[in-house]
Amino acid sequence: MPAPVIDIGTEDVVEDERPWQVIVWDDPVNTITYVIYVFRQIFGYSKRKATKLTMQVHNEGRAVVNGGPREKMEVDCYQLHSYGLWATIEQQ
Amino acid sequence: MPGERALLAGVVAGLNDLDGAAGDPGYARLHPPVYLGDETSSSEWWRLMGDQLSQARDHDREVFDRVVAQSESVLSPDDARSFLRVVNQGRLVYAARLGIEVAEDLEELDEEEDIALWFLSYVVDDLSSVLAGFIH
Repeated sequence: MPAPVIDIGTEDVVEDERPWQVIVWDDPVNTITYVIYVFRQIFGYSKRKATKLTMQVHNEGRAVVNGGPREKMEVDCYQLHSYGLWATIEQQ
Repeated sequence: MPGERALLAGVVAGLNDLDGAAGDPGYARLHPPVYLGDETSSSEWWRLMGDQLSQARDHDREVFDRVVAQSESVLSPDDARSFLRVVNQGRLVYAARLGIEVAEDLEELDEEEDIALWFLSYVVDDLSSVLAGFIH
């Protein structure tokens, strides 16, 4: 009698390995000067880069301010929240 | 100047009664979602980071209260950053409770509210500019 064949399901499970990124959103209260400072203080960005990102937040409503592993982005988000910026995390 | 100090202290005092359970917009502004469209992940982030953030904010507040109470005029960079974060938190909560959600809402403020928010913006911008000088 042939042995029974049991199909245990061999679908490959592929983890979503897309990197993560932190988004900062515009709000009507945080000032441009303050946001530029926060980006420089937290990320070490040059004044030019911090200003460019801040103006992108202001003009487009949001900007990607950093990218990398999820755990690092969660720490970045924490730091941004400590300064009162609204930051969110998403996959690229 | 006493009036300015009283205004700062008064706005920051608004941080004393943040109440998430009562639908306080000030509380909501300081506890926004972190993962949009994913309440589970947002809740998990707040579960893991919330206490640490709360403790950091408490430390900043202790620095602010000490600076105001002792009328300190020379601050270390660390103390200045704490002071700055608290003043800005006060601004955010004050504005949220006034119903400011978009830029156009600022036009609805009465004169006293407008002056208060302007003064707080001035303090934040001035201190941010000074602290930026310590970044190399």
